[in-house]
Amino acid sequence: MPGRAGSEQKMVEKSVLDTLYDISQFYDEMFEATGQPREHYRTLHEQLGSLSMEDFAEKHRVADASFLYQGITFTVYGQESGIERIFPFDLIPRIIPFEEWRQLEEGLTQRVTALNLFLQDVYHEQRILREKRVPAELVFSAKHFRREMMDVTPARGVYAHITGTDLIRDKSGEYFVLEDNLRSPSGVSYMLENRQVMKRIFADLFGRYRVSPVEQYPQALLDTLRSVAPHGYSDATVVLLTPGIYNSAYFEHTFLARMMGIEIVEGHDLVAHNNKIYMRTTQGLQLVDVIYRRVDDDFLDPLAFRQDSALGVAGLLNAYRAGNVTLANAIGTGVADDKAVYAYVPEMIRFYLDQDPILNNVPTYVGLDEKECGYILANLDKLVVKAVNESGGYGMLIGPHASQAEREKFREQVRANPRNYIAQPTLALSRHPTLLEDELYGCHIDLRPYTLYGEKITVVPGGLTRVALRKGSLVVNSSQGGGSKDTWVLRE
Amino acid sequence: MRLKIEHITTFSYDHPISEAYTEMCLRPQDGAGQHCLSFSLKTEPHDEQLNYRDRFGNDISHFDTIQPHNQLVVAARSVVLTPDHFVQSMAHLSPLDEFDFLQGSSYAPLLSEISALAESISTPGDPKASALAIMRHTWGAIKYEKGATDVNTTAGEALALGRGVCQDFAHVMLSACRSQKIPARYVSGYLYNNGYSAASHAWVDVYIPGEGWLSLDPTHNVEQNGQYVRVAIGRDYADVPPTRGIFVGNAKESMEVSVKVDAVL
Repeated sequence: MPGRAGSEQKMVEKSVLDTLYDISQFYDEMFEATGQPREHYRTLHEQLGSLSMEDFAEKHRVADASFLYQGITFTVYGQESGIERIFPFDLIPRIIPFEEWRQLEEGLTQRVTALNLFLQDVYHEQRILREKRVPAELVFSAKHFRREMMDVTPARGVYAHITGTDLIRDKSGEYFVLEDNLRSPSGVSYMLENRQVMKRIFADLFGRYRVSPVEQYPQALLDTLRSVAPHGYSDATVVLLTPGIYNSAYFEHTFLARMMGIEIVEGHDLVAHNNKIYMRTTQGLQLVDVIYRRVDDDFLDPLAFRQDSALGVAGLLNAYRAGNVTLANAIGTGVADDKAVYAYVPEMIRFYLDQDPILNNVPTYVGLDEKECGYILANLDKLVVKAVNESGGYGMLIGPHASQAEREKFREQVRANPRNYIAQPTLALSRHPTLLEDELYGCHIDLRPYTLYGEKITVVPGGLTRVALRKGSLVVNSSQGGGSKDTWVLRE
Repeated sequence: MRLKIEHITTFSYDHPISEAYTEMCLRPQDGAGQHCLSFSLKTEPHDEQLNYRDRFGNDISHFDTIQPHNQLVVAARSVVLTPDHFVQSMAHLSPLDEFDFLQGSSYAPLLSEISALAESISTPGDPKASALAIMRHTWGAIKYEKGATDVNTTAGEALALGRGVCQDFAHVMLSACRSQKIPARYVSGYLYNNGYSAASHAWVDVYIPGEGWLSLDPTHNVEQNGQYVRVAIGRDYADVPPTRGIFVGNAKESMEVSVKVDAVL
């Protein structure tokens, strides 16, 4: 265990740092391979040296109570009892130096720009397909490619107003994009709540770092939504459309609506008439300009999509098509975050922007490509195989940890429907010291920053750091035992 | 020919309904030699219509009624000048057309039995001869019989049954052509039959590389001629029903359709 460098804090009998910590072969966010804390972690490291496990346990109780009191819970599907849980939170913040963040910001801006140009293109001229830079078959067979969006142009030509990009770091510390979430990325409420709790519990420490604020996010989101109002109204009526209380992210929906000061509505609160969308209010019908929708495409409009949907608004697509209402995100953005289409994002960046990607993709083998499919089938014991339309850590084979029977099952599935699968090498996600069962343990983490696109692109400095709270686990999803940490992006 | 069409759809409800949203695909196309000389679309109750063109280039009208009503009437009237021969030359298909018109679809899935049959009557390397053979075979394999099938019948079911209506003939031919890698699309429209039965009709376009679309009617084993009026194209019936909609209210819906096609001077 690295020694405590000249701490001015009170000395405790046994501090958090006195437990055995294994840096191991992964990239550790806090420690160099030599065991020394990285420069931007030194102040935090000192503080840790002055805190006992009991101090931490006490702080944890305060944090948990605060989360529970505020109702920050999420829903776990498929569990027998108590499916409402608080999202597990770890008190040791993740710190990102300014220069590192600047690179990420540039990379995310570039990527979101290219993804939006791709969406604009596939729903109009399809240049990238005609020039065979991306296989047409891959795009047209994507589950979320919406023929209804052909030749429909959303306000300002923006499709993905809110993007939550999942980033990971490999052994060398290089950041890679693992997923572009362009539909309804969730989790931003945890980013905001984590910060609030940390500022209270670690007021002192927080004051010793120059941390970029994230509190402006709700206002920035509202500004983004207003900037894409159909006729450019600055006083546009914006509403948040939720599937309702049974949705796992319902807490976040109410939270964001409250923070933005806008109405939260369900499908039956809205009505389409003469190709405009109205909200039913006690004063009669009120025109709606922008809908921040947290309802999937399939359920948005029973006339256009799934007829059995009770969550949507009949006639919504045509009001949208007529240009009388803006949907954020646009319909059909899912074609660009299909896990197989993802493999071609670097190509999109080259094609539309004539630039090299700043942030790289994780190497990805696409089942639809015959050669790559052969590689996948021959290396099932080394690869992570993913079904392209599953998320939350479901529908996945982690080859090296799987049994022969599990691998054979996937072999059959990949053979039967190669379009539906991709594979990636097993990733050595970076680790971060985390308190686990009363000791400091290096848990694997990722990072989901949020990018807003209205008049211009802005990346909120920070994001949601998800952490795998089971020893050795690589799965950070909240539904599979993941938790989160506050993410401190340092100012210049 | 110059044809006058009247297509009236009446939706009736046993209890008043409060909201109805309706999409109509009823306007005859302009192009490939056909001219829609006049078109009117009236609804009762009356409300604002939104017209747009869908991904296949079809003209769609959309309207809603949010007042209580127990009957909704949609009346489409048009006069159309039709060509004696359908010609739509096209050197290449767009990437999306090439994909969509070769894929199996819900009414015209790719089935091994249809594929085997199609292969046995096709001429390799000659899509035109193959398509004509498939049309002739479909015409012979199914007996025209109203009521034997319904709006949910798929190509496989119709062929197994050996009976059906124009829609079924078209779906079988679509499956067969696509199984032989001949791009094929569903055509919805009208057929003038000297005032006899007839009226709403469906047939098939096939794409001949380097030439363009050829329009074939497997119900009658003929190429499209001056008696045919084209309204819409799609992958199968599901893309182009003349009307579709949903309503809010606790009521039972019944629908009545009357179509008249007359020759005018």
